[in-house]
Amino acid sequence: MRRFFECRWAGVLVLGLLAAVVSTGRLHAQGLIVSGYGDIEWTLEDRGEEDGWRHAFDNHHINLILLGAILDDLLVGVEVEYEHAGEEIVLEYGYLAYTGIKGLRIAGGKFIIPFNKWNKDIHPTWMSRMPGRPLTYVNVFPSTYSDVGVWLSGGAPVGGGSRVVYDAYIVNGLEGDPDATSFRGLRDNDRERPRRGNNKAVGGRLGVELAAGLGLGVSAYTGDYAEDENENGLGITFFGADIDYSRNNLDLRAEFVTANQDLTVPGRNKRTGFYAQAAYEINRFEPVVRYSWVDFEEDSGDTSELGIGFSYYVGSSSAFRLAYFINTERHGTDFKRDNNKLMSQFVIAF
Amino acid sequence: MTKQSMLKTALAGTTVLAALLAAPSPASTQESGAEVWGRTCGRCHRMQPPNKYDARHWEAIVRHMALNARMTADEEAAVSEFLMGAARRLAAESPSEGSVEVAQLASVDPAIVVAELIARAEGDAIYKKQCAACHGDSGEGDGPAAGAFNPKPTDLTDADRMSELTDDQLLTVLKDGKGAMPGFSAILKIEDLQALIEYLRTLTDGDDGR
Repeated sequence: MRRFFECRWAGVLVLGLLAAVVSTGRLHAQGLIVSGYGDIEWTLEDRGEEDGWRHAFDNHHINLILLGAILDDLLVGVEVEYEHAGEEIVLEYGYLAYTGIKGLRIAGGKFIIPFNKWNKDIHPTWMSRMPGRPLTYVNVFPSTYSDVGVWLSGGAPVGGGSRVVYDAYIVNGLEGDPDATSFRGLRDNDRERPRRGNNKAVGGRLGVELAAGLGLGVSAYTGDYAEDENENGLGITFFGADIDYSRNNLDLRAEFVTANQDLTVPGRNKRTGFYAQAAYEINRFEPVVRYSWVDFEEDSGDTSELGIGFSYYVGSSSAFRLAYFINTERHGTDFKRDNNKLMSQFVIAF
Repeated sequence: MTKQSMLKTALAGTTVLAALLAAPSPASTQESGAEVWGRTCGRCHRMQPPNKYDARHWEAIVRHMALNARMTADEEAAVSEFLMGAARRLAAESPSEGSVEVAQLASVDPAIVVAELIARAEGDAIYKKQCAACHGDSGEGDGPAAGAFNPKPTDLTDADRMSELTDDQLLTVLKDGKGAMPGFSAILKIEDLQALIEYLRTLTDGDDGR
């Protein structure tokens, strides 16, 4: 029952409000829109000497999005994510947002964590300009990470079309076993395990967006992900910085993330990651290059990936993408793998 | 104080600072909806054409995108007005074309020339504010929002094409809109529109064919 209220209340509340709106016949008048995006992928990947090159299709996402305005100052937004054509259906976000205060928006429910730009703003496949995620957001920050809590955000003009933007939030937080090595596993949206303690995670982002098209931001997240045998909290902290430049047909972006994880043994698990991406569109054809790199300090490992590819835009929100990734992974002195891959993707937003 | 406590304190301080920064300010933006649309939406994704949704849906979308893009209230209102206006324009019947009489050339009078130069300077400012997001700084139809349109925004530097349009025809388009382009009669005075036309004529390097 507790898990229900911790994780599902947002969805139930949002759906209940939607039902109330529908029942009063106000849905049509309030401009509720059904939207979403989906993608189909085909990947040819080098799985090493034993498995060789393997290829597979994937229906990575079919996501439905509902956006509406219940009252003048009250918004509702829901995204239901269906991944990999399997049984995984989750509420990516389900929030109610109050917008009646100038310069401040208050949202409650489940929302995507505003850490740097990728996790919240850029991760949808129809927006990311290249198939797959940068390694930074696979192995360091566990994207796509959404959680339940309260989120404050807004922006303020600073003259000349430039502005300061901010996000601040408190959420239940990442959670898992002590010394967990997979940060992505800490998301665990279903919350199958009983939650420990009352500690919540906090974080935020502060950014500047210049009229010339340049954006800069710094982000932070901190919270306990587990407890040791003496019920002392084990924390995990992320710091990030992002920069982007978007002007006419050119899109440049780079992001940096570092993670510090407390362990039950002396010392900390530290990981650092970085990616940079450049794309330039010429008559619906958009060449793109992306480099990402992760340093696993805990086992003297590092992984890098260079992706080169292109998008061809069939419409304003649909594209065929093709990219080849040169991937090199090393851990300690014993393990080395070059798992290069070719990815093709058709993506559409509707 | 532990590292986490310090970070939490720093985040709380940042929140307070941000809230103060976000308080209503007299320096709020005076940008046009087209400018904000071109600058803000294209920061994350390709621009979506105004005719993709109707005005009612744009209203809901802009309110949510304003949340996600952290727009100010003024920016949200400007973008909403721009996109809803364009969508309404597209939903309405096409205005009659070809019913406008050909404008007569003005006599060559120094006073008129000076007035035209002043008008062009004013038109330049209006163009940058209202038109450049789609038509580009130079008028070649390659503004930040151009990718949203199919067909692309008109190349205003195309002398042949521009020479086929009389000033009255341009005025009609600017007032009422055409295709995905919204009309500006609600936000620009007739003098502003005429100054804008003067400026548009300069984009073809003087070979405007009038």
